[in-house]
Amino acid sequence: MKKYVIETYDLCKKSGRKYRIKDVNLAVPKGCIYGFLGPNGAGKTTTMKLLLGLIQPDGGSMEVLGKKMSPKNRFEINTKTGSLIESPGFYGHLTGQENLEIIARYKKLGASDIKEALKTVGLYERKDDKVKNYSLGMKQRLGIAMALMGRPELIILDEPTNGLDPAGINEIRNLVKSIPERYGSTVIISSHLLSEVEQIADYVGIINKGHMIYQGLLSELEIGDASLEEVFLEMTKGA
Amino acid sequence: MGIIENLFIELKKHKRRFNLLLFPLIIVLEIAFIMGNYGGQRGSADGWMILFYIIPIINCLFFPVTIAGFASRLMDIEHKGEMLKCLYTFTTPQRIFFTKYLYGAVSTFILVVMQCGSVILCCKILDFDSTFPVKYLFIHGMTTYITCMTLLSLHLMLAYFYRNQAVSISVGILGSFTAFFSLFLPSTIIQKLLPWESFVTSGFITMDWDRDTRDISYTLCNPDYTPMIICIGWIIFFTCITLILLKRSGVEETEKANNNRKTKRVLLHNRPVEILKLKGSPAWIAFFIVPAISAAIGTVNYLGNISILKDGWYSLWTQHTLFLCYFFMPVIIGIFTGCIWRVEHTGTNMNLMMTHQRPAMIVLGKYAATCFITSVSLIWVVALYLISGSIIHMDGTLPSGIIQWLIIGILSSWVICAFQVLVSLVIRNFILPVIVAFLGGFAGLSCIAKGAPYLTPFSLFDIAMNQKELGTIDIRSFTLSSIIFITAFIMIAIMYLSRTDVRSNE
Repeated sequence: MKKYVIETYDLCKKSGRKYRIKDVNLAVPKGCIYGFLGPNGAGKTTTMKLLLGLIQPDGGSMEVLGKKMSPKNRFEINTKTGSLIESPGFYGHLTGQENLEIIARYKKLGASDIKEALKTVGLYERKDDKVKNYSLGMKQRLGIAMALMGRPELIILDEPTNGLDPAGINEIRNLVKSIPERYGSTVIISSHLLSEVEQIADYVGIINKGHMIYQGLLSELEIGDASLEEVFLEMTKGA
Repeated sequence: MGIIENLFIELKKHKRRFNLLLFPLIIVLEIAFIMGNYGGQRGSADGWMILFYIIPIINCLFFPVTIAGFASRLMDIEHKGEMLKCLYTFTTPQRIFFTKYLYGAVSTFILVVMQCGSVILCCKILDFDSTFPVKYLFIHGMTTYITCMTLLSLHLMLAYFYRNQAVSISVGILGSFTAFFSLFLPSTIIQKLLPWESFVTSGFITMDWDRDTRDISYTLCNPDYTPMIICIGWIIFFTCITLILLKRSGVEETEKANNNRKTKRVLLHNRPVEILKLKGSPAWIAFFIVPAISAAIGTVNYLGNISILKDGWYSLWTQHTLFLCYFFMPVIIGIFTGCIWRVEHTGTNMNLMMTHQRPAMIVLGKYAATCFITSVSLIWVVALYLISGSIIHMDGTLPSGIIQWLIIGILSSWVICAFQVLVSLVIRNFILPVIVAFLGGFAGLSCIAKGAPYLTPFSLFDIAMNQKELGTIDIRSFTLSSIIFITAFIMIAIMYLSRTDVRSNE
């Protein structure tokens, strides 16, 4: 059994001449919750899009779930992953349930999975409303439901608590925490909210201006009395 | 007040959008069209009359689409970025609208100036006498400008109040075709009432065609200003409606939580995913309404010209399908593929789609949906043909080849579908692929005229449906060409989707 679900080797992505990320080496152990931290515009979303094969790297390579990521393998890998990248995608003119149904069709799941997903994120009561009438937080919940459907081996969540109220944040936090145990999946969760990652992640990777500046166990990062917040600010300062 | 100041803000907003490029493009196309048709008639003394006769007719086809596209581009930037919400907090809806209107008016003026320039240019190139009274150039410019402004008033209103750009462009295309077709009908006051048609009805050159000698002569008559007065009436009318709507407008908070239909259980749909995504979208209606309109016009035209159309059922078929194939069908297919890709191009849906499906399956799914609806529509065309034929008690027997026409017609329409699926995938804007389809119809026509019907997807379709008029086809090269086209377009689309970076509207 492979120890890492994701390994990247000197991953680069340019936009124009500038590097959006440069020489990123990620190693995500199986079954953990990996917190991916960085300020706005550091390259978190770019890295996650690369991991899903949504964009092609300009240099380096990566292995996801034991397979080399390439346009050819992309779909095969993605059948075992669930993701929420940028803001959630949805068809506004369809109801929440119909949106999940489309995903279920693609993933070859049934009505019970849709029901479970709706209940998990607390949208069951609003399943017959059009998604364009959902609030920002509800759309976010729908996106999370789409990512969790079918109990994928790898779940990639890009700032999943955007737009949620404090109760919602707490709820999603507990949900994410329980995923490795419930589904046996690995979770990568990106955030710029340190306090959030601090409470759920086992591993952290910190990225700033396209470069990885730390990767490892969360417990090893917190040195002495300094909180993650202080360490983070120290690391990203001026870099 | 600072409307001028607002205009400068508007100019800033459109930086790097190259809105005005659309105009030279259309003008160049029109010149090319005139060159193609009148290139041979050098040195004709009343050549300028030909220009003033033909340009309004071409305008009547091209300008409504141009104006519709331009207006929806003006508004699109606000709708896409949800900017109206923000703008409403520091300015009034009226001001936003009329700044855009002013910007449109200035741009339209540039368009008309370009057109007048193109008249002189055409005279030079074609070696026509360019010493005609300047008065006529001025009149032509003025009537064109007033007509364009009428259309702008209508389309900017549609673009402002409907986030869906399909509304504006559909009205534009429908208007342009209605105007074009009614030119073939005996002239009545109704034509003067149509704003799209006043390009032509306000013209001052008439053409006489002698049926026996096949001589064409042009005569100069006094300009008719009634259409202009009607147009100004339309402008006032549209502006009033706009003002009323603006007064009521707020940032849309429509149909919030008005859904009382709560279901207890999770029930699944049976229809294919692509069709499910189009739920509630009116995209497919055009496939049934437009052939019906075309059939109605075709039948009326047939009855009106029964003295020259002597081939019975054959003639009726030509009347029904000629314009449908040249112009309507490509455009409706273009609108439909635009609609099915638009759901993916909005927001981050492309991320969602690409992480759940193989690129090949995405493209093929869309393609299958388009082919399906197009085929049904063509069967509907044949049904309409049979129905209207029996209503007017057509004598004689049905054309023997009708089943064959239908089958190869469907095959060739699939070529257009493949082409439009590719274009709408690559061009994320809604309007441009529709304009491509619109122009493609003309390109197909000129390919046939030049004797190369197998060169464009559009000409394949034209010739398949109109063999009687355009000459019989060689089934083998026809099929070969169709299959090559379909494979090529679909392969390119799949390659494009799997190799390029996924872009989302973030």
